[in-house]
Amino acid sequence: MIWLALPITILLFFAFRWVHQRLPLPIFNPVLLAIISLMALLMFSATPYQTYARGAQLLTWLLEPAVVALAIPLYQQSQQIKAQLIPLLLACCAGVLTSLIVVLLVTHLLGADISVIASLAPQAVTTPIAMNVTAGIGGIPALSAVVVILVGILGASFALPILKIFKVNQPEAQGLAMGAAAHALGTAKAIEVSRLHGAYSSVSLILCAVLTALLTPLIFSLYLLIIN
Amino acid sequence: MNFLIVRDAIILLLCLFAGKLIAHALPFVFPSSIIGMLVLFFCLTTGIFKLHQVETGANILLKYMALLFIPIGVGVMEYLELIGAQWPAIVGAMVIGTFIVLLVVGHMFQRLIK
Repeated sequence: MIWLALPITILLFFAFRWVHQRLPLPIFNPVLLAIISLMALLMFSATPYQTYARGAQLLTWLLEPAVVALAIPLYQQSQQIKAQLIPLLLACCAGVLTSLIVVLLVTHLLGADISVIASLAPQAVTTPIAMNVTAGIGGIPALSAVVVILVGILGASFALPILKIFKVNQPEAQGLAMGAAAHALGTAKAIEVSRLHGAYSSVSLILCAVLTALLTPLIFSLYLLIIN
Repeated sequence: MNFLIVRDAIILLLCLFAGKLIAHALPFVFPSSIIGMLVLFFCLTTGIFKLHQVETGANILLKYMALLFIPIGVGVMEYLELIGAQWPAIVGAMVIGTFIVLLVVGHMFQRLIK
C-alpha cells in the first residue's frame, strides 16, 4: 500500500486544483482539501501516518530545494528590493511584533496553559525556527509545528481575499503580507499569484524568520514579567 | 532538456548543501534551506551561477511548491487530541493573529512605499 501514498497525494492535489480553478473560493484551497481527504483516507483504512509519510517522503524531501529555488524571484526583483530595504524591514518588524503581541494577548485571555502560549507565540514563522524558538521558551515543539502548518494553510487560503477586501492592492504589499503571516505556505501561494508576489513573500519569509528568532524570547520574557 | 534539469537540480542541491554546512557551523539554529536560498541568491548576484542555469528546474519546483506541503500537513492528524484539548487558544491565536498580521504588514508597506 505504501507505494500508493505518492500517486494519491499528487492525484488529489491536481484534482482539487482543477476544482479550485473552476470554483475559486478560498475554502477550496487544494492543499487544505488534499490534507483533509488524506487524513480521512488514512483513518478510514487504519493506516498509520508514519507509513503514509514514508511513502510520500519524496515530496517532503523536495521542500528544501524548493525553498532554495525562491532565490530566483528574489534575484529577479533584487534592484527594487534593495531600494526599499528600510520600508521592508519596518513592515516585517511591525508584523513580527504584532503577531507576538496579538498571539500572547489572545491565548492569555482564552486561559491557555503557559506551555501552550509559548508554543503558539512564533506561529507565523517557518517550522524549524518556530520549533527552536518554542523549545527555548518552554513550549511544546510538536504543537508549534502543527500550529505553524495550520496557520500556513489558513493564510494561504484566505490571505488574498482578506487583503483585497481591506484595500491592500499593491502586489508587493500583498506578497510581503502573505510571507509575513503564513511563511513558506503563504509564499508557495504567492508564487502562484505572480513572480512579484513570490519575490516579496520570499523577502518577508527571510526577514520574519530572523526577526522572530531574535524578538520572541525578548517579548515572551516581558510577558512573563507582566503577568507575574 | 533532461540534461538541463539535471544541471539545475545539481546547482540547487549544491546551494542547499552549502546551506546545511553553514547552518551546522552557526552558533544558533537557522533553517538550512533559507541559508541555501541566500547562497543561491549570492551566487546569482556575483555571477558564479547564471540565472538561465537554474531557472528551468527552479521554476518547476516553485510552480508546484504547495503540493510539497501536503504530507507534512497530513501529519497534523497525529496531534488531533492535543489540538482538541487546546482548541480555543489555538483557533483564536491562528485566526486573529493571521488576520491582523496580514493587514498590518500589507498596509504599512503600502503606505511606506508611496
